[in-house]
Amino acid sequence: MRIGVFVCHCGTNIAGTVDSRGIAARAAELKDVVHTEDLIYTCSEPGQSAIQKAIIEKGLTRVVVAACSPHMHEVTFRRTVEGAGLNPYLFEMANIREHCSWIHDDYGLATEKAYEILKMSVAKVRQLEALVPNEVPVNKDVLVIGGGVAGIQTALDLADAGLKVTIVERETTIGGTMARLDKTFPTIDCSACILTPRMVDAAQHENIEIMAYCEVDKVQGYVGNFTVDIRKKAAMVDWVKCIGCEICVQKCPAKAPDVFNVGLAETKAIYIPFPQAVPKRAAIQVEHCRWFQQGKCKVCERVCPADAIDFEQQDEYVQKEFGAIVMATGLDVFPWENHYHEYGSGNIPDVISGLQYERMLNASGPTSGHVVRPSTQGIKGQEPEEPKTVVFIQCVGSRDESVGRPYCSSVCCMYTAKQAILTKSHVGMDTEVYVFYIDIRATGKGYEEFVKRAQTEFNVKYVRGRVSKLYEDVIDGSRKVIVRGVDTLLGKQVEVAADLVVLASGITSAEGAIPLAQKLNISYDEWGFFKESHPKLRPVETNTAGVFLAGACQSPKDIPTAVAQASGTAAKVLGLLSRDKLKTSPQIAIVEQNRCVSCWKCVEVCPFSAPQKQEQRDGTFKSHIIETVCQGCGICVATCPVNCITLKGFTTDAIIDQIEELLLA
Amino acid sequence: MSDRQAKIRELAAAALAEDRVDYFIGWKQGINPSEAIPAFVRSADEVDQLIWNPLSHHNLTTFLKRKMPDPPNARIGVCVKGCDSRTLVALLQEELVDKERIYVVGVPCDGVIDRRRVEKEFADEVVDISFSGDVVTATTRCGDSKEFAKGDMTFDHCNTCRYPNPVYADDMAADPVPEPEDRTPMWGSIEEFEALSPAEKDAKLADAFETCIRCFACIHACPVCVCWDQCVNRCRRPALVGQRVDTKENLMFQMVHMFHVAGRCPSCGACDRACPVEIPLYLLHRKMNKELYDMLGFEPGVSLEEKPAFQTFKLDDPFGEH
Repeated sequence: MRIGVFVCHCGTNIAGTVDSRGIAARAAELKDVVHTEDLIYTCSEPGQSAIQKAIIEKGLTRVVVAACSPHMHEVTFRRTVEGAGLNPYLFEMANIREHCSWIHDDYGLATEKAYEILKMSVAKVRQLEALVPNEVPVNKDVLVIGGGVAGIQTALDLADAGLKVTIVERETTIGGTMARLDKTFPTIDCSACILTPRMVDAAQHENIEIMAYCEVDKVQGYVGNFTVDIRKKAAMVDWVKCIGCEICVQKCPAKAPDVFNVGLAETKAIYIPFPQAVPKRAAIQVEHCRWFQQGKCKVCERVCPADAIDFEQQDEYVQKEFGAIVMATGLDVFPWENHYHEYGSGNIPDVISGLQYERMLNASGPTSGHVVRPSTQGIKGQEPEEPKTVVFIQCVGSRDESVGRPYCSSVCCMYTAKQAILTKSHVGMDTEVYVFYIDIRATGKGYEEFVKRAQTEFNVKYVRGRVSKLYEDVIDGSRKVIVRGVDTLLGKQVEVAADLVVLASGITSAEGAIPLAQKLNISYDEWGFFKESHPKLRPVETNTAGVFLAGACQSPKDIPTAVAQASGTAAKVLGLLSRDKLKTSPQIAIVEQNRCVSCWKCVEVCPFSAPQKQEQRDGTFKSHIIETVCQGCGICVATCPVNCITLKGFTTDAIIDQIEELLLA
Repeated sequence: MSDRQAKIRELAAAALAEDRVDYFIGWKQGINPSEAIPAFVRSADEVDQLIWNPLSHHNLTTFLKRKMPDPPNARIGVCVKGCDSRTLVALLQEELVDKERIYVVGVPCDGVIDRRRVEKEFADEVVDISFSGDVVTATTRCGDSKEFAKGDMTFDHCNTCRYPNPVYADDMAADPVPEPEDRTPMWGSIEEFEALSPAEKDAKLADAFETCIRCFACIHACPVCVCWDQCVNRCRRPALVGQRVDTKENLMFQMVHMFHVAGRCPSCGACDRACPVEIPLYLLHRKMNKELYDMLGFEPGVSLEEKPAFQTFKLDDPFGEH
């Protein structure tokens, strides 16, 4: 065995605290080490060439690089040694940067520690064996979970490139949050006008299948070969027959809260969320339906011209195979009512959320685009009143640690500016419009100019400060919402008697995001946003190979960012699926079956269901790990009481040798 | 007591006569009448050797895990006390025993006698122990005889027992004995151990484990220790536990055992009773049980629907708080 040791300076990252040259020289005394060298930047082209040169000239059979974290450059150096003809798994990395130089400042002690880390790696590399990756065929179909603008964009990009895409959407229509918006900033173009053609494109694309009113039930398998169970929720309407004529909706006698319009209006127990819905199909909300709740009615069945109503319909399950999965589950509006008791907890009718106001501004919304005070709606013989003074409050559920939301929702400054402008154009330029803000964040293209227009052209009064309290009062015989806040620029208290208050409610993760993340084995943060593999270099990948992210499920995003990311995600998926076969890591677990005692603890603990009970010739059962399913996490290895499972590349012998090297020296 | 014995014989005889089991495991009198030993009864006319008295301490479920595969399809009847039933449940939770192939006779238990404690009261060998109500009468080879209150001679485990009635049985040998209303475990000597300083704990463990001769009686007696001949303690490559018999290696061996049965061991005490050099193994096992209870509220072998604590993962598990 001929081991080569290469110690990196990493500029001064390592050499500033560790004597890289010194430990390289000392390593020459270690058993089997025939070559040592210190390099300024080992990962650079000259550094990698030096390793390859030494392998060839000195006939090295094992290589140790003492440098940064294997997370950073293990793959790089594996490729380097492979380039010089050595098996890439006969390479070991000693982390003397993150584990040593960066966290210590005593030069002498840090150098000693770095040498010990290096010695352990040399001990381990002696035990390594050549490993050869396996190849598995790749399924080229893609699952997109969520049919908002991000999901639609990814699906269209992938479908245009020739891949078959399935969009699973849990609502009865695709469109997501964008379908509920009125106009979009900073161009004030109609949200539906730009989105609905895309929805139709997706529906008509020969490579896209839209599975609306469906949810992902179970995910098994691994990159290139996922098996997904999808639950088709019972709509109580046969969607093959339904023609979306809406006669049932018109005739249905049972009212139900209108979720699409954020509770500003009522819909029927049988409903189609909005006129441009794709697919345009009706569904019955069982909890509001008279037939299901009281056992009589069936009006919809009588009036349906297509005979599509089916009260007996049950949930159905379908199983599909995919090579990659894109998460595009979007967002929910922060439930401010549960947190902001000083804003009335949702009990003041003239205090509404930004999304509610969005619906109110919309021509197809519950007020047909008329801005009105909700407190004056629905009173007999009286027209709803237009507000004369409108107050916007920003950062409700964003940048507020008192409600556990320290992050910026990134879209509220802009949508507030847009809504302020639209208020002036809908109600009149003489409307008093105030915006209470902390900072204005307008970093996108044309955004700052847009906010400036709101302030100058539209004379929206921006007040820098938080609102401490909202309460109702009657002033001169009319009902007002008193907005009590502070103007921190003037350093004084302000009080505004408003007719309507719009809260720029922040963004939170979509309901159900966390259980879904658990089904897919992907990470998420404390608010339920999915975590990317690397914030800068792998922003659309997750840590589970083959699962990608698009849109606001990752973090709050506006439409341009979500769409741009969705196309980026599509590119990554295409890159993955451009190959016919995928190499799987050979660093996986293997069972020594003659020592297995069939206690099934490995079966129980494996997060990927890789160990299976395999029948032996004598009729007994032993554990068997399916190579392609195993991700090499090592939980089974640690769990196996008889130690009969080995993780290739991390054998017990190698680890014991490492420890002994440290303790016995 | 004798009515439980009679009922055990009756149930065993019926199961054997009706060919519901191939053999029945219970207790019988040993060669020395002062002790009980496990009995394997293969026909209905042999059931009269079965006994039940406070000497019937063996946890017979250990034979299930060992006998189960050999013969492979044997149907086995077995007697269980409260604590034994919990080890059986632990085995069933992991499918290490086939529920369809066992017939379980549950015996409500009032506590079993620590024979060693009795022996320590005499200089001579105890050759007979008899019972009358709560009075234990022991007689030595020389004919010395003393009477003791039964409560003074029962195992520590029995004194803190919270499950005197079997939690799982097909038939019961008697009506359940009164159970404690509060099932909160009592830890007794473990709390004393925990109060020691690290140095004192070290000393106590070193003292306790110094005498281990690695006879492996403990792991053979243990029903939930299931690795048979593949035990890592005897594995030479990799040598996780050293061959050398000294305090550290002994402790390592027992620590490995403790972790392997953690979440599955209800501390029935079979290992303690099997140890020929009287190592207080409960120190390890009950301590682990206390940790599991304090951290997760988990008690091993109580419910068939549960999985052993170390084989489940819940998001709200208090990870790292201890």
